[in-house]
Amino acid sequence: MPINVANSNVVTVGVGDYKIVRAPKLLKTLLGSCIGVALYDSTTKIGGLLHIMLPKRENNATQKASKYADSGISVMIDHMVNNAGACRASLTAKVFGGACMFLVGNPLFDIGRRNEDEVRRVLQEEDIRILAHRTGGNKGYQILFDTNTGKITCGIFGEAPEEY
Amino acid sequence: MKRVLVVDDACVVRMIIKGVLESNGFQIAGEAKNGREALSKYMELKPDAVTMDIIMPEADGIQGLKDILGFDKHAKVIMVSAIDQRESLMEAIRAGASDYIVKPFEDERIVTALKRVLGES
Amino acid sequence: MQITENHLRVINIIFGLSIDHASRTLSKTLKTGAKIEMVRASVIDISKITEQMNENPREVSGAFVSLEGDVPLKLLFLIPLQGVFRLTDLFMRKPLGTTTEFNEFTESVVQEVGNILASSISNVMVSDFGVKTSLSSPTVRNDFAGTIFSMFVMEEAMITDDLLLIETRFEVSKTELECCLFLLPRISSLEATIGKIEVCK
Repeated sequence: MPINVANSNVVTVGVGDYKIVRAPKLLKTLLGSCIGVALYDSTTKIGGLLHIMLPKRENNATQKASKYADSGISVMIDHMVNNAGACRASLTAKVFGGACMFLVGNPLFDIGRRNEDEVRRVLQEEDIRILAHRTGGNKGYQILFDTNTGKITCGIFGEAPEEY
Repeated sequence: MKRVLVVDDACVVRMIIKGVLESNGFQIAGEAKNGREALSKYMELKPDAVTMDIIMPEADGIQGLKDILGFDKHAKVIMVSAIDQRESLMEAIRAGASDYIVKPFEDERIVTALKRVLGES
Repeated sequence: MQITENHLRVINIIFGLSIDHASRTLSKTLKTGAKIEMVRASVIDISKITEQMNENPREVSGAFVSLEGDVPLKLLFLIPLQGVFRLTDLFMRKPLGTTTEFNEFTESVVQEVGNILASSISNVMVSDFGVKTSLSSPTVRNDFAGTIFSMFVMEEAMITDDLLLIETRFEVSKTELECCLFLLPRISSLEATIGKIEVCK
């Protein structure tokens, strides 16, 4: 069931991109096998939402870093702290998506799980605690991140939205 | 009453073809949703004729046609496909198809083709 | 590869003709006026186009088809879930309002419309431009539009940040069906594709 938001404060994030906002703005995106990494600093009410597509950047040096878990998370942290003014030590994470959207035999079959594994590894390395997560399954996710509260409303296709 | 096996991966197309044939004096022997299933249904049901889609998962209609003719060289198989291309048509003719109908088709086209291949026209 | 104005000119002609043909075929299938018009062929950043798709959290049904051969491309036919009922009624020649629930038949209507559109486009490529193509059987998914569109572009987005996307406007007369048809040619094969067609030399 879609989360309906008719609000000019809502900023939408596309695949392989990230957006950083401050309260009262909200961030939203839609996910399948991609992972949405929401970072939040409750002291400044600054939030960032990264929509990563693949686990590792590997040899794709010409492509945007924010598409990959192993490069995108650090890029967003750097931007949040050094440009937007978030407090590095206060950052916490919430993680959504990583569904199995492709059929057996497709090279992308388990990309959702691999994305999640890499996101967890990087967040641990960055020493950022995951406060909540909803991952896996085989349906799309719609998430709405409220930087006033740090709460995330997550709607999975065919299910009622829940708050995290 | 002549019995026809209807093969298409889309159940709505099977339903439409069944409706057209039943209202024109044919009996539906059975249905199949790919080339492999078509062969096993053909062997089991021994229909008088087959309508066969081409683009289907697992085994396509050309493979189904070849397999059915391998089992029964007198089988009457009419290809019914949205592919309107010389190469596909030639492949079907070479493999032994009795006719080739392009989707979307007029109801009469499929009825006339079946009557002709079954010697009823 | 660098996509030039000349490439886009050729792509516009090839896909414009293919889409016109698909439009006529769909009209014949549904026995009502269906008009599919090519809006644009453009090179667009993956984040920008998916951001646009994610703006509107619609629930849709989508049919995916892959064309392989000289012109490798992916096709996506999208229709809002509520529109699937009307499309089914048109396809089955029933009065609008007859179909009221999702089932195997409604899904197979989306599947078959995807098949008819892809086959029609492939037929023009073969007959008018002399290229070879082969089609996959369509797969159908119901989900959020943004999620389905991401699945559609995923493989291409693994190798490039920019997509060559062909967008269309889609109208079916006497209905309010808001369908979309997208074509996504594989950028890495474009040089070879245009070389095959031999109109750009």
